[in-house]
Amino acid sequence: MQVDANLTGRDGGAPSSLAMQIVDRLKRAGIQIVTLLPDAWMVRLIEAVAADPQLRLVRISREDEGVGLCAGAYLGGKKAVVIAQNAGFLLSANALAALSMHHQIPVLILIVQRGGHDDDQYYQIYKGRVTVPVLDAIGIPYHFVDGPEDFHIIEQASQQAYLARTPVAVLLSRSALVEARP
Amino acid sequence: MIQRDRCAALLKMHMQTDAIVVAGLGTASRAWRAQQAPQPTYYVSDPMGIGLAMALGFALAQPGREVVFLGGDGDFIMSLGSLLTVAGSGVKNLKVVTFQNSRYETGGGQPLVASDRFSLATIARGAGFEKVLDVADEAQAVEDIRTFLGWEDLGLLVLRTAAEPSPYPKAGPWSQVEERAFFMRQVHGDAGPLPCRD
Repeated sequence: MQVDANLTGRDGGAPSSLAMQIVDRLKRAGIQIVTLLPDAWMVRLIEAVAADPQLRLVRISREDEGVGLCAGAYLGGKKAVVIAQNAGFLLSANALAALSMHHQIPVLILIVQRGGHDDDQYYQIYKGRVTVPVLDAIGIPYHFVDGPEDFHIIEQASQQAYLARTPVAVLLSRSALVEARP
Repeated sequence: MIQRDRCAALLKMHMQTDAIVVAGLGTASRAWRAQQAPQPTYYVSDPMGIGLAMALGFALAQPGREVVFLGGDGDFIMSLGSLLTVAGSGVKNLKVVTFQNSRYETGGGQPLVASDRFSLATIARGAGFEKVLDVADEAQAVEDIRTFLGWEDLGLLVLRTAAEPSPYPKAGPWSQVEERAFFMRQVHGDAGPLPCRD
């Protein structure tokens, strides 16, 4: 199968401008710990996080671990973020409901919103369709980020989470994560 | 096999008083609460399987403090992948304790899956834990708990506990939100853990 190096980062290139801008917004929000599980759209972002000495990258085996880890970091006095595909958000619904919501523990979640008009895979479609309804059902505020013009929302969403003691989700579209071909 | 209250008492006896305890749900957690130990303790309560990740998060946020996760085996096996996450994180100030009685005590004593053959110690070693102890004898537990709590590195201790009655408890006097606020004030004081605006 032909692999799109622009998407996966397998060409060994430097972190993209988009990724660097997202990392900058996370740091401005006071985030110090980043927990994530990869998705093809976020490879450049992972590279940028891994390369930043101010961020502690913790690779996780399931996305709901990230929800728990961020909660523990909050109890310990540091801000953390979960970055995951929407499949990982759906998997984490129990942790978000029974821990984050029930204990009123803030957490910022960056969700890679697969399965929309910008996706070319069959298996992402249903997850993409139900992500927002599930966010609504659990009662988690969310915001859409489609590109650099929206990146300030990441900082604002973090502030919203910590003021309201609640999870807040930022839904990242493909155009926010993957550079357009030259 | 060891009585769980005895295990909790030994942990209290040998643990640094300024250590932080993160307790999962179930009988291990209730045995610890009954000790009225001085160590600040966060009771995760729910969902099952999330406590170890929380303990890791706290340990990463507070690298200068010893953090002890205490959980039952039923809670623990919900998220065995967390062992890889913990080992892979490079954390040094976290110790993991699990009471293994191979059954869901609060849930009516039903056996855990593969209850007659699994070894949490072996699984932990396979996940990358270099320091692991597994003890079923009380006299040995006295020694091993002291040794375990003296390590200045990541470690895991399995305490094989006896099957004991554990009726489902009534709700306590404080909600989880109230307990969280108490815990955070105990740990961070009136200044709070972090500003809402940086």
